[in-house]
Amino acid sequence: MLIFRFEWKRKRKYILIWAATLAVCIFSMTPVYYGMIETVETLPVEFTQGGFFETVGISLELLMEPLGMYSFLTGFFMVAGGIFGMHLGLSLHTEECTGNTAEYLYTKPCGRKQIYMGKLLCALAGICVTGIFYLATSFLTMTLFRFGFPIGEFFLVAGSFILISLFFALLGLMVGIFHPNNRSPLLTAGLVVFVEYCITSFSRTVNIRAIGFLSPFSFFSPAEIHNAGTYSWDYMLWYLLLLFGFALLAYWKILKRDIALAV
Amino acid sequence: MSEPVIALNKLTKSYGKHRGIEEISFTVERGEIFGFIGPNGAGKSTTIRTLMGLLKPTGGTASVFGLDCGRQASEIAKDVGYLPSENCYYNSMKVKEMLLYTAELYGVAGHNRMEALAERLNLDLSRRIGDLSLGNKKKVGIVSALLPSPKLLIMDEPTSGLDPLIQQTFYDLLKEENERGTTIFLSSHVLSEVQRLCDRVAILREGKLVGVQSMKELRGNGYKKISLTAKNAIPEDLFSIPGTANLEWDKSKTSVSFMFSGTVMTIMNQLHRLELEDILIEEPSLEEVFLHYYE
Repeated sequence: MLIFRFEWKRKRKYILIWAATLAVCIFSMTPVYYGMIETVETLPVEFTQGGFFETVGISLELLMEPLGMYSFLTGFFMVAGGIFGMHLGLSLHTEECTGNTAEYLYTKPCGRKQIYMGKLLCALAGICVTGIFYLATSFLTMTLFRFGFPIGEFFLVAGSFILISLFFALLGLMVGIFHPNNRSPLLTAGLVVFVEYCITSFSRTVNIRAIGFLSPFSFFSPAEIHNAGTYSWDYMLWYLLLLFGFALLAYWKILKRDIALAV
Repeated sequence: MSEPVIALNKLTKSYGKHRGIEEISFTVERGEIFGFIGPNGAGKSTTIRTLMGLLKPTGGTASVFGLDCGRQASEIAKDVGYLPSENCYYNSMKVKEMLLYTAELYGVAGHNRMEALAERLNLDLSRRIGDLSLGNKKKVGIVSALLPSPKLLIMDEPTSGLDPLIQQTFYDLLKEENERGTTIFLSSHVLSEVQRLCDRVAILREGKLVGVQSMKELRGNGYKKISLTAKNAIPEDLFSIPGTANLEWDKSKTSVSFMFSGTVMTIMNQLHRLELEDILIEEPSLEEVFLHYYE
């Protein structure tokens, strides 16, 4: 817990700023977007016929429902959540190397296992805090501006944000352990999340579901949640496998590797 | 005889194309001050980082207190104070926060000791580490290493960046720790420091161990430094005799200096053949003995 407390103290401000910013954004943007469209007819034809909404996982039918526009916006907030999660996970390890503090930390009696667990807990706590902020603000926004939305579906859509952030946080943690000398973790996080998002858009455009297994954004399509009332079980199984895979691989690597020191 | 505190047995660490260390074997006994000397890039830090569990050996074994350095590093660390060669502390933290964190990691209440050590080393605890000079950062490292009152101190180039007054305080601190029973393992290329503090030294060269000797042996290995000047040019083959090393001639060939480890009669017989103007026979400095190992 000592490592966790220390890491949390170091990252607290950063996490709270991200959480507050995302909360303010979803609170201010949702009513603005609701104000922009009242019916499908008010949308430009390029949007309704070009398959644009399908590429972000929304159907036109869903868009006109109370939860539709929120789901559309959450699709983009998931990108931000992914970048935040991956950057958090990555920097927890790369900062020790690039800040030249690894030699201090890894020669103390806490051991590699405790260091790994402390940093993992910090990443999870960071995701929880941003997730709670996002969920609570979303609920407040929806209640204020579009009351009457299905609660269960809302939690599944809003929960996608948390699950995406968690996925990228663990991916970042693993990548940070494998490549601790990364001096541009934010750039790396941005690129990886963007590429993953593009893969999902591509899989939806060509309508090949198998490609979707390559990107977590495919696992949480609002249209599928709306139709099935739940997440797809095959995607969720794959998601959990990947999550455990990242965590185990990172753990295995941190026990085995030489501790990289700044060069 | 008690178990050695540090035992290296054919310890090897290779980095592919880059040289690491090759088959290093030696032991450090309880209560010793052991020096580890060699030029930059000889492999001193690699050996120390392997001992501290930061690097996994590619061959051989390293143990501290009988525990394996690779697999039981965290157990070992409980009784080891480590001062790295580079400053590796959290720049955003204040010195006091950093040292209290260190004490927490060791599970000791280090407040009083921290203040006592900081006072002796003239270290301001209220400043941010990032704002400190190189020497002051080194002091943070020294306090951090001494804070848990470890059974073993491992120090990599401990005095680099320290001013002479603080160096003296540091030597005093080390002697006090050693008198309390702490084993000290320090690497350095400041030979006067090693000469002053250590009981034994291991000499490392290009990743290989050249030898382990007690300071007494090292200085009393029979080598004398002889410098002489003759009236006429000295024949070049005059000192091509066993036990002569590091011959240095002047341009006129009337002066020469060298290290000699043969018998007194042998050198006297050779000197007898010269019309000497001046001769100086002295104990070589540790630097000269040390350099001799690298020739």
